[in-house]
Amino acid sequence: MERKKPHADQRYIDGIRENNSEVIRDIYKKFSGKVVAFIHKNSGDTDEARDIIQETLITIYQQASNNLTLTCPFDAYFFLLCKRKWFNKLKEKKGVTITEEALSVHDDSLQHVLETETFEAKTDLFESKFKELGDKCQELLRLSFTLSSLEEVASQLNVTYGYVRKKKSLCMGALTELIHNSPVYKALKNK
Amino acid sequence: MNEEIYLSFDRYLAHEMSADERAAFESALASDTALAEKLRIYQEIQATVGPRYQREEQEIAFRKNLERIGHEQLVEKTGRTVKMTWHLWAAAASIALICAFYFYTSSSTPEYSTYAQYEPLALAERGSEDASILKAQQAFNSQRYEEAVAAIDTLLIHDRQNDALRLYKGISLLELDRVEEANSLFTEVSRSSSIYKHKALWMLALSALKQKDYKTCQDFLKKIPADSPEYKQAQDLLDKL
Repeated sequence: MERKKPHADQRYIDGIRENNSEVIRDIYKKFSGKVVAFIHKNSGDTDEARDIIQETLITIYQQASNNLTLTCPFDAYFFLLCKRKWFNKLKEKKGVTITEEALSVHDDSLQHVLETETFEAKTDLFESKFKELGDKCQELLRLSFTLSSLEEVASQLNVTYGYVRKKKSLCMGALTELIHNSPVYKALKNK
Repeated sequence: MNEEIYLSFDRYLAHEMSADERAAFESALASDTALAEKLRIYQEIQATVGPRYQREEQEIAFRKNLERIGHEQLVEKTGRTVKMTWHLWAAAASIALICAFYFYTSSSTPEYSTYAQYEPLALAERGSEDASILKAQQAFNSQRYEEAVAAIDTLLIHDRQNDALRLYKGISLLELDRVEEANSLFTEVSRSSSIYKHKALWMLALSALKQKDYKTCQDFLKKIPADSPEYKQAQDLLDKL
């Protein structure tokens, strides 16, 4: 997928990644009406639509910061993401039945959407497992992710470089084990 | 956890293994799928969790920006207001005038009628042209509450848990002074997890106000949380009590 030529709508993805207010406003102007109308038709209101749009844009932001090259129109990708997010919300609510027609997707943007959803699920999983680590490990990993070198981490924690490096590998190991053993990861693995 | 594995991951990824050691490690990876999977997770953590923390501040800024633009863009564009037809606008305008009039003439004790201003019932917008929905809507919006109760009851037969319907039936009952029935509907809705639960608390407060039971009214008003759309008017009324 990365090798394909980006769609002209890649500019929306770039704008989101750069937190460009003009582009974001443009996205709301052009694409939110359809989402709101859809959510209204499917037992939601404007506030709920606003939340869904916001969550979807955050998901796109997170993936865009990692790596996201759009090869389909933004409109289709964005709408499908919002739609599926809303159906997932409805499923959690009691007593809402979703028609098969509404869930089946015949859309070439589906591949992008599935990738984004997998990315989101993984990010959530990693995040929640990170919080299960001991405080010491969390602090050390956080520092090693945000500071530019392990030497800096060592001096900040007032320990040796060798200690930081070993400890970092072991904390990463503990996190790896937590993720590897989780049922969510097993489900995601094959996607 | 086998600590050695992770120390070797670190050395492998930092290219610190000798050629022999590297070959042995790679053949272990090829034969041991769990080991290969763990290495992949280890690398994925580096690639996704790391940058996430580096961008923490930017992400917070992005979320704030989104919140701001979302509210600015989605208020005028989609609320009921735009979809209101002209006669509803006229009704809303006259209600606003009446309210303004009440504010100028009201005594120091707040009255139910000052606060009893309801958004028009707008069910048909939810994609249905159903005659019984239109009937309920028209009856409520033109304050024919007897008819509204009957029409909403018909709708509730097929949609028993619809909190919007239950809330508006409650309002109609309250307008008809069938207070107990109204209160029991408001109580049900206020205990649900629907988006109408705070509005239901507000209605319980108004119902108490209508009976001039100021203490109960205050109690309900205090239950309305600060992040709800009803909060401001609740505080406003609390101040006057």
